[in-house]
Amino acid sequence: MAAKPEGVGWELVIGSWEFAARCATDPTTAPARGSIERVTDEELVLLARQGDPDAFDQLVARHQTAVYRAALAALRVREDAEEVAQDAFIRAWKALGRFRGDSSFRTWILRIVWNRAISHRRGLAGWLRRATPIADVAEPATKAGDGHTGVHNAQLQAHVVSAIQALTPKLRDALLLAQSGEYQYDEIAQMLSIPLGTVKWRISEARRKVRERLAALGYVDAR
Amino acid sequence: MSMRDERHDDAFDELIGSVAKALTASEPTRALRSGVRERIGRRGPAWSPTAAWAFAAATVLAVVFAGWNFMRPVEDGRPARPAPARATSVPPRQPALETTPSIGQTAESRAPQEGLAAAVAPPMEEESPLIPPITIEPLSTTRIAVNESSEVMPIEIEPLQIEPLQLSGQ
Repeated sequence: MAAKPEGVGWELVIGSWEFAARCATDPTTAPARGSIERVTDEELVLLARQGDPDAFDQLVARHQTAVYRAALAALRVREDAEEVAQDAFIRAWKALGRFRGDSSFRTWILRIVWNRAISHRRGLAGWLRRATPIADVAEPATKAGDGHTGVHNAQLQAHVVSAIQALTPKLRDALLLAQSGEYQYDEIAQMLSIPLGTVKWRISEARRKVRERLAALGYVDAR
Repeated sequence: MSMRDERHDDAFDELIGSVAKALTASEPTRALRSGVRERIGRRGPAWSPTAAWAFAAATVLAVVFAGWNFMRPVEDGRPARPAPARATSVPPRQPALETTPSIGQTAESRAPQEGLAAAVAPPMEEESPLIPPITIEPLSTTRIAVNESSEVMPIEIEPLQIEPLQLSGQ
């Protein structure tokens, strides 16, 4: 009898066996290319732990955007973000044996990618790449309007971008992660390893600092 | 705060939010997924209990073999382990090897000792001397004559004449 993986519930193990057995015995439904999307992350993790690259590939497909955007929030350079995201998935694949299932796979992989991104940011290469202006990396959308308003909006947006860029890393990370729309506040708290209240405070403080900077630039109503 | 101020705050908050969202509003390229797929495909299973058990078993076997090799007794007059380096510093002629065998000591029991002695002792040079021994004659020394010292005249010392102090007013 196979041993139950540490930290994984029996019902999950049994569910995974049933899934694996279904795939093995019924070729018409087994390939699961269409049905694999209905399989939970926990089942995919169990299959991946048994060495199934297809199951892990499905996990990558499900979480690659969240993982990539977390890296992008930290690094602000697309190429670096993609490299770090890929590295995070490879590390997760290697460390699947140590994944205890205390948290979801998504939370686990987000923590891995965030740690990798911060480590990359602290390195010399990351420091050099940050010399790239943030506006050159990702252009915010500009609403079309009449000529004068359009120019004014573009200028204002550029100022907001530079105000965000001028924030301390802690405030900026919290703001970008929250505004990306990819993560709940509690996910951000787990990624950054800080309490939920601290996440909320940092986001609020980041907004206040940006408004302050805009007011200093002459946007009188910003404060 | 007036309603007008609140409206402006909301507008700026919305702007900050939308700009911040735009900064991370990017999709990963296909290279991310395909790169992961390629890299994990090369490696095979990430974690296998079978591989872990095989590794543990191999480690135990290696330890047992090493221990058995270490504890193996001496065979054929040769030590299981190489002789330590200090064996080379043994003097050329060991008295114990030159002594006659004691009563009850058989040829078989002497054999390992002789083999060991032959292994560690340097060749005997006294049996066929190639260079004749050098004879050294003792040096003849002559005593150096030293003249007796002449008589030393005693020094005469005259006693000092000290006058008593005369105190004024007395």
